[in-house]
Amino acid sequence: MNDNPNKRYHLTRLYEYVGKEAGPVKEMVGIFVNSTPEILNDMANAMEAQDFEIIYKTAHILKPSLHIFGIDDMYNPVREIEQLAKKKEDINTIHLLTAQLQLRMEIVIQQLRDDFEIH
Amino acid sequence: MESFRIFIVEDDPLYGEMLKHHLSLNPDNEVHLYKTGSDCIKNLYKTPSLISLDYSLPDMSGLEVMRQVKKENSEIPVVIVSGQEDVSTAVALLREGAYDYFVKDDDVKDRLWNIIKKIRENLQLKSEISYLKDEIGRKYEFRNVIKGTSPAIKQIFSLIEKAIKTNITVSITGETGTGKELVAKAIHYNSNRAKKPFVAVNVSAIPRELIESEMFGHEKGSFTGAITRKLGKFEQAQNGTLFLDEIGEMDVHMQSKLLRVIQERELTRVGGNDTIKIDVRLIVATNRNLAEEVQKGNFREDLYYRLLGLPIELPPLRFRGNDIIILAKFFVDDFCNENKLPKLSITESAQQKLMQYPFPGNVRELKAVMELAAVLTDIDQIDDQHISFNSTNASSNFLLEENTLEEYNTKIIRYYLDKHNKNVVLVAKKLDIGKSTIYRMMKENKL
Repeated sequence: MNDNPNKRYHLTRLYEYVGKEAGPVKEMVGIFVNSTPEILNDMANAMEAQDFEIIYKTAHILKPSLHIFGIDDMYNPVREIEQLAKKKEDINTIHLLTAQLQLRMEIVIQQLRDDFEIH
Repeated sequence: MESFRIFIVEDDPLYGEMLKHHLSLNPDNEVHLYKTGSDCIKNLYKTPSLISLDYSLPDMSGLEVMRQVKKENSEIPVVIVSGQEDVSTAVALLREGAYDYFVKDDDVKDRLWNIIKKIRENLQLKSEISYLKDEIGRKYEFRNVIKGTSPAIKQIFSLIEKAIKTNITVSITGETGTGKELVAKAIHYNSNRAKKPFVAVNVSAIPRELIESEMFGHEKGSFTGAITRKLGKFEQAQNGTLFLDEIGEMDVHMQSKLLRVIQERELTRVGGNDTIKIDVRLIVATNRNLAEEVQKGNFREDLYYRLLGLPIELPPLRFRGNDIIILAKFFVDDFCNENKLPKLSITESAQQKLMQYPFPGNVRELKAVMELAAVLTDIDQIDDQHISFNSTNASSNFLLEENTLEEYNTKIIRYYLDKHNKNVVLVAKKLDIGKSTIYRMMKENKL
């Protein structure tokens, strides 16, 4: 694991759940980096179809994971996506926030893959 | 301790795995992770001790899952873990029977730990209570507590067996000390209500002005001193048995209220408006003759017939023949066991002394007499010298001596002469006999 100053995540909260032992931590990181792209993909598809319900559900699922992995700058945007989608309003803002989320998550997931040597 | 089975129902793969990992840190926890509500429901046969349920699941809502769980087994605690901070949802879920509701944040794991700890403690307490109830049931297995082989007590056994099989009201009568409460407990703890409460109330011990609130409960502020809501004896005995001892002492005003509650099977707390349904088996006892009290106008006739149910009249100990010896041995053995004393036998002469005594205080008195004898003896047996009666009614012993009429006459006259300082004139007057009869008996050295 490197000490990249541009690191977009921190694992303090994850350690509280699973401890600092390398095995379980890597296992959780693996689950996160493998399952999140699929959720983001579902969200992107739902954006195209303007399916508020799926947008809401995917944002709802992502929210706790972002919190656990310390991706704090994306927590509030996802929360906003979730709330707007629930109310089925302001698709433009949702669009903007989703695009921002997709970009940021690509970076974080890559960082995690590199740091934990998950390929 | 048995392992504590936890279901985590969570469609977020990361969050689910993380909770599973975290809760599995305690090796006593057996954690199962399900991603859908239907998976959780399919596996309910595994009887989880706790379900941690995500509110938003792909196939059904947390509320629907919880309803299904409660339908299968209402005892399983369901904790809703949700990503939504929606108070109204939380309130609705708690109303539907959720054990707790919390939002996915840093506290979730600690709160789950605490809940598990609390539920485990509750389960432990429940199993202890269940064990103790079984113990009490065994203790009150009626043939273990009501001893005897006399025809009179065999008749009682047969009535108790009938009472156990149904919910019929039982009215127990008998002299003081014959074991009315013991019979009531034996009926309760051998009936299908055994695991529910047995509440005993001595009606004569409750002041008249308090009895209504004692029996039916009261609401906060319903009278001066009612600082909190209080459940009455009927509610405390819900689904169990209420034993009303000394029912004959209940005043007429309260009798009419009791009659209404028995008829309607519902009550209203003092100062309250809500009607509360009750399911209570009644056992009443009295040492008065209730039929006579009805005739005298002291007891309501309609209530008398309501309460009569299955009447069990406990025989006085003096009519139970050899049961006196069986019980005496039982009480001595029991006392020696409890006090870690060596076993004691009862000599023939002691047994004879016991058999000749009328025991006005019945079984309760016999128990006291035998315990005292066990304390007084310095040898490994109880002899007649260790048996002492302090009954207020000991003179009725007299009739058990089975003397001739002449012998009884002599004893009576001698007793009166002793009592009245050999005043023959006074004694003759009191006994309504001639002075000459007394003088003659004195002359014949009979007195």
